[in-house]
Amino acid sequence: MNKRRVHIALAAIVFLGLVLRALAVRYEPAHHPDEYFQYLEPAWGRLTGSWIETWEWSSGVRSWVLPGYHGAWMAVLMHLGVREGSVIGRFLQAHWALLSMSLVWAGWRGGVLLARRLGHNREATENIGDATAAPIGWQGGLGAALLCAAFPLQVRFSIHTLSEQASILCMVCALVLTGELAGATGREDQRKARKKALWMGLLLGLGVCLRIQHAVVPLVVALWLMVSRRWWLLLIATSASILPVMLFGMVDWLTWGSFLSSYVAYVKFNLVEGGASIFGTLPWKWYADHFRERLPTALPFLGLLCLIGLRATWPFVLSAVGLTVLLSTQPHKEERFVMLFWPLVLIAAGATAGAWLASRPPPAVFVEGTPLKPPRRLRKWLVRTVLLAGLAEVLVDGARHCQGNDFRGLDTSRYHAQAWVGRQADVTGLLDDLALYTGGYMWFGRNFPQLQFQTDRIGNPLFNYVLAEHDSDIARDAKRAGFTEVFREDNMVVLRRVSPLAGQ
Amino acid sequence: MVPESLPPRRPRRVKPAVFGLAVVGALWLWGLGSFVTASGNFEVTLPRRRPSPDRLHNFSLWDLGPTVRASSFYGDYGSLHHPAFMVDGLATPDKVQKWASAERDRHPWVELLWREKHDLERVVIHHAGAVEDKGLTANRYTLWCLTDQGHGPSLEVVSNQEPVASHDLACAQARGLRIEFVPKDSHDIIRVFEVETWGR
Repeated sequence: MNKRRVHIALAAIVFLGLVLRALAVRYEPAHHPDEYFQYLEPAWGRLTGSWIETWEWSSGVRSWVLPGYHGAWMAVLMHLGVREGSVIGRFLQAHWALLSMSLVWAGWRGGVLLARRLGHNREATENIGDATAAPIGWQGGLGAALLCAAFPLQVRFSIHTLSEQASILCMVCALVLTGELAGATGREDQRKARKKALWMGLLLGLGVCLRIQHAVVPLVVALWLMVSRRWWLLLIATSASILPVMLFGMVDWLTWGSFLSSYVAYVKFNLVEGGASIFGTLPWKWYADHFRERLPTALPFLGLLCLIGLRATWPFVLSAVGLTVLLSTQPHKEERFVMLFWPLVLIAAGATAGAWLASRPPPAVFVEGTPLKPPRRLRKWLVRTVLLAGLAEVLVDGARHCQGNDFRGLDTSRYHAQAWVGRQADVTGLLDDLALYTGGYMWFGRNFPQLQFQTDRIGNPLFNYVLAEHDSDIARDAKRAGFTEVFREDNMVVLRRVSPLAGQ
Repeated sequence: MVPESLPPRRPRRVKPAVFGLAVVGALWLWGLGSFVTASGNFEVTLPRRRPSPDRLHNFSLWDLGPTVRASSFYGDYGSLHHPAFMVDGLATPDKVQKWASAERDRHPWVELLWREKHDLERVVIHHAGAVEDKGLTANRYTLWCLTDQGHGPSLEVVSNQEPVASHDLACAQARGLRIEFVPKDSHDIIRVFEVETWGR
């Protein structure tokens, strides 16, 4: 295959990934209140003085690093004149969607690497003597890149401002870099390898600090480098990984008063005391069941590909399985916790499929340039058809079963309605039906009081807007108190006070 | 053998992607600086619904369009104690509709700024004790009259026990009022249901 054609195909995959992510920014509903209240709202509060403070922030179990990262972008946008919180929120979602395109890069690089190791010419890195030929393993690269670009659940998750998302990007890229390091040879490669080890260590440290449950990946990375006898590179990566830990520790010291205090509090609450159980518990096999729900027909195909390619893909598969096992031991389970499973498995499966697509008959019976005999040719095309159909089924099955999220009841129209109220010139206060199901002060975008609806609170003259479900008791109470409907989207209505309170 | 003259060095070209990343990074760092140095203080200006009367009145009331500033507020989603509740005209609402300082705010203060100058005569503060446990009433605070020249007359209150405390504070041509509270201990939060500023 011509290198140019492969590059065109890769560009098409990148374009597809961008288009799908743009659609996700437009249509994807909220996944969990945490994406607003843990990582956006504190930053908004720092800049505007108004924020809803959840118990995690009053107890000091969250690091300020990710809100600080978001806050820096918010500050830039505010200086540029963008004051509407929902617009800034959309920008940040689009920004994460764009960053998630690094998974396509990781899919390509990782797929090429793994397919090459699974192929018949595993030591070769290039088609020697032909500068225009595509790199060996390109089929695996394209397969893995396509899955990372277009797997529906991955696309949906890409816009969410959650720590899992940021950590996933770090971990997957670090694992791919490890693969390249494990196979590095020669003096030239060693120079590049040290640089890659540095980046890899930084990414791993950052990924673990962002999401401590992802610590399985650095363990697999260490194992991979040890098996490959890359001791020096392991030392560089380990040293580099300390830098993000120091950064997070120092930020904790400055904000919470002691080094890594939010991590100590987090681990103590979630892992030692099992405090997360108050948010619900699920059986140990919930994650396995959930994977089957997401890909009822294609999961066996993905699993089979991972098994077939295990010789080369074991670090990816081991990381994915290790993460699932670790999380399965925790009573409280949410889908977002295990989202790292998907890109790891998709890269492993895409690479294996690519290696099989590229496979040739054994050299003893194959002479270059000689056409294959009909039965062999038929078998080859049959295998290719099955593989391509299987990859297509992963995407189709994924699309058919990608609906729903961790936090049922998060209604997109409620966020829209809240942002609409924030744009009204006369607003002085908002009573809503479910405070935790809104976008907090950031989505409201105004510094006026927001409280959960109670009938007696309607007597406060500041509350001149009510947000509730259409035909609900709240909407009826508000109408009786002199409010009238001024906005409606799907099942959500906004009512505005039109009759002044008695005595006004 | 040393060549007579070295070939001219070609200037190093910065790749567009690297340049773009550097610009984005610099922009983000600038934003980070703004974020870190932000005060985190609260401010809101209420829309004006009616003009100020000429007679003696409370010119901090919400419908006269005051600006409310605060060092912080207690923002739990179930019990959000917003600073604007200090001017809503409801002296004894439910326990939620009051201003409370954030738990980590060791120097709580509030400011009420008015749309025009007034001759301030008296300040009435409805403390927590008016609705809740009397022990929650703030004991130590200082009232500052704000004028165009900065701070005007002030009044230091050192041992208030009144749930509804009325303080005479004469101040001509006042633009606002600032109240600086002293928490009782490191866990104390300040709770105020209403602040009235009477004058003409």
